[in-house]
Amino acid sequence: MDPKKKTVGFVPDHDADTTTSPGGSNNTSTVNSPVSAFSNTPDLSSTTNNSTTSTPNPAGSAAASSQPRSINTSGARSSYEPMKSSYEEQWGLTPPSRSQKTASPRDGSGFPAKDQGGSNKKENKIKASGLGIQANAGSPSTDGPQTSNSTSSAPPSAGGAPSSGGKGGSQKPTAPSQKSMTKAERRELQEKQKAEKAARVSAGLPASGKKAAQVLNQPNSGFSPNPSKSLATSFPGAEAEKAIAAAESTGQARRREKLTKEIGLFAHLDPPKFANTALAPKDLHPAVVHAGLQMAQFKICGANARCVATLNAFRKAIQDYQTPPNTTLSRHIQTYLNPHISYLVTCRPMAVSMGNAIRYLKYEIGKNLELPDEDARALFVEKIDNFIRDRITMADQVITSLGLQKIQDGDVILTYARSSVVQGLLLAAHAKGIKFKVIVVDSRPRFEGKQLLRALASAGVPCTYVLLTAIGHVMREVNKVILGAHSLLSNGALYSRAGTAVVAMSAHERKIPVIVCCETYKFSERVQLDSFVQNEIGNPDELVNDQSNNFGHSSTRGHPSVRGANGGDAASAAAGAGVLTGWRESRDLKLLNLLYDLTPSEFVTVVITEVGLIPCTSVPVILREFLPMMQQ
Amino acid sequence: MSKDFDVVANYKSLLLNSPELSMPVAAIQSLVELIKHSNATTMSEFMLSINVASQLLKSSVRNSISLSAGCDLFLRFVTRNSQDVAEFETWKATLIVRGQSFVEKADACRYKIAELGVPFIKDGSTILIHAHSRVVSLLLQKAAENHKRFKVFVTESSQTHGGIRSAKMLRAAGIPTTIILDAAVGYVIDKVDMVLVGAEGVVENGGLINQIGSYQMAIVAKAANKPFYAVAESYKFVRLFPLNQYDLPTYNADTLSFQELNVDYDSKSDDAGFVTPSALSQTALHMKTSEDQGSQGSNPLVDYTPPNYITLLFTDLGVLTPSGVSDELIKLYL
Repeated sequence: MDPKKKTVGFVPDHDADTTTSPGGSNNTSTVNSPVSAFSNTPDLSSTTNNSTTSTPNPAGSAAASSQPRSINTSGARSSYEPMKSSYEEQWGLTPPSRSQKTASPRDGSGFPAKDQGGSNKKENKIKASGLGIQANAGSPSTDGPQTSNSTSSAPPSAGGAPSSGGKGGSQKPTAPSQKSMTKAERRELQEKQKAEKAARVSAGLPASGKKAAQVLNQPNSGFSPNPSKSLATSFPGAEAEKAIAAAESTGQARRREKLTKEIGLFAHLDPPKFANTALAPKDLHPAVVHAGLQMAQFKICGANARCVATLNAFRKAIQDYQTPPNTTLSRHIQTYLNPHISYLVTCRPMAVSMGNAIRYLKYEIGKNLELPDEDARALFVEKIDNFIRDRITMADQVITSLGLQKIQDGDVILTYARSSVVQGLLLAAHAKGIKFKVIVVDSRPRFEGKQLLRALASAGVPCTYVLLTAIGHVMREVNKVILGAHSLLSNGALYSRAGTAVVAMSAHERKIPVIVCCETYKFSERVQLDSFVQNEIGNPDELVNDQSNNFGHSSTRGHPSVRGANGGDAASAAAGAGVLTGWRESRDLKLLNLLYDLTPSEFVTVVITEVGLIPCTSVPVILREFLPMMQQ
Repeated sequence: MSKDFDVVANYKSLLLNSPELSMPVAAIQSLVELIKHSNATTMSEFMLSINVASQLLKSSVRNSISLSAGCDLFLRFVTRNSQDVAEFETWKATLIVRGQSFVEKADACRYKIAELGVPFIKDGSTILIHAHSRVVSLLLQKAAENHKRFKVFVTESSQTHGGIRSAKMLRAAGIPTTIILDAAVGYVIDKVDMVLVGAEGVVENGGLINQIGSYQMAIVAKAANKPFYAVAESYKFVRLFPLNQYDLPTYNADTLSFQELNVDYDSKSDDAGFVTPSALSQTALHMKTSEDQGSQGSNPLVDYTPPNYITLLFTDLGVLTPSGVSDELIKLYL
């Protein structure tokens, strides 16, 4: 099964290549089994494990199915085991007699003692869950310390701070006052907790750790007060158990943020998310589950591709939807779609484009409540098709034709990473016979520019490929910069792939015009002044300069012809392999993989949209004047 | 089709006969004339004839920027109203009436701008203006009538010598005026309180296309932290988005931005419209004969001032920021 083919079902041509499909072989197995795709990436696989094993009343089958995987992954993660011990030492936790595997989960969190507020809070949560954690960690039969940690500790962390009082730990009373404590006091508390924990460890619940953990966890799971946002709440009561399971798995995702060593400044952002079929409530439409997984794995990435994939999945879901008795399609469909939308969000934070498309769909549904079922179904399917056609496909064609006016013979055009619109524009300019040169600027960790490079080079466009670090050097010969956009915000700021701001500022510095290609459906009402308030954190392991790791990343590898262009990187990866491999062990090292950045409006010369060339400060005008017109 | 009606000739004679007429208005007027003479019987034939005529007009002159603003505006007006056409002939009549009322209103634009702009001129201030612009002159005259006391520096503007003409008009209005060299903008900028320029066209991002030299004045003004105001009628708003100086439609050897000082050049450029051959100074005539036509031809006639150099634009729609222009243009053309 080729995932690309599958996605493209209803995708217009230009988006076919947006669907990331780096290499045939790499792709095939990934869609429904994230584990195999990422077998080299311990975290991803462990996520799957966690979710399966953490089901509060573990059905035999679930446990069994997780077992082979865990064996599989434990080998891959063996390199992480020392990390546990190093944390143990750091915290002075491990009694000399304990084996490495008795690591406690809080050690796994990787918070150095310095992070007083954060780590303390978390520690408390963990503490609240009781001894199960440690017992579990001690089990030699489980799939590696990390996984087991997250498994057992997930329910409490899902519960979060507010719930912890109900769970009744000895530390409870102290929890609320933590923030107001002085550093010394907190330290003291930590020591106390450690001592208690050590006592517990030596006291009991040793041998079959996993069972003990489950036993101890079970009562907690019932209290989980934060049942996975709307995902779980949208469930009918009969499926409460499932909801709790889902809640716990999201809890584990949250637990994961400790494993990824969350960075203080970005603590408000969602931690990186990982594809997880177990997150999906069972009655989701498979097309949506499929799309969600592909997005989570960056098989589909790019605002347009994700939006089209989402809409197509919803289209199928609407087509296959059976109206329950005593309701009508248009009145119930939104309730039906909500868990789907929530699921997509759990896979990867929603793109602005998707949000706008879904809002449009909801608007259309809300407008046509009185239609008979079959008419409504046909109407919504048609509206989706029209949206894709008018707002994306046709918009791109118009943008291309407008953009062609700005490309002249002899131009040297610089572009960054890859945007489907920019690629289309450059290819169209080449097809039109304009003689120009392209400099593709790319950057770690995603190397999206290689895809663009491949497309341009195979079309015969003269190209240069450099990494972002060389921007100052190549900018000298450039006379136009053309960029894609994830979104344009109401204050005119450009929200796009991380690195775009550097490119735009560098061009602005030399008075080189910066042209942004963006469909109006990506315009956002939001206003953002910097890249910190809202962003998306990618998997930090992508930054690890490890060849095996990179290999796991389908979108960055794959095509042999690109390897050549990437020679420098491959060489450096070989030479410096493992420099960051053990980053979790290092107490002061955290990795941050931000996916987007914000380019202030003064660095953008013009935005090419399907309604014409506009200055980016006119985004609110378009939102005000034009979009209501489109919705009619 | 109206083959018997020469729209270009009509346009040129309009400009020659009334020096106060600006290019876009003249263009609209000749298009209205075309409609009057049109014997098209179908809608599409009619639309085609208008399109052809406006293309003809644009290609007939060397600097088509402000002309095309007028043509585009009128075409937009025609197409926007073409949906609700019940009776072809009555619609044509309406177009003629509307077009004529537009031409009449165009004159009022300038007075409205002058009214809006006067409060910006403070007593005792010194104003730097560039070359000659009817609307800037009118604004300053209005200010003088309102008993504002101010001094004016005007650049000579060596190609068209519009500065000399401006100085004459302003002195006649009792405004102390000094003609400075184009190269002396930097020299006087510290003595100046504000810079006022007219416009050939106002582009989509609020930038300005104007007689050559405006851009450097804007840069100098920005460097000296002096306000730089552009004065433009809203019919000069044009759907263009130049990325830089070389992205103007006038840029390349075939187009109008390269002026040869030919005898009939005055009918080809907006600012030259008022300059009858007799008004050309002796110097200009001398240059025309002595200078190599080739080297003259390589001089651009207009330049583009990016919006970030412009403080405000005085238009008949109100006093706008550069981004406000794009707001208006989007409203007009969407």
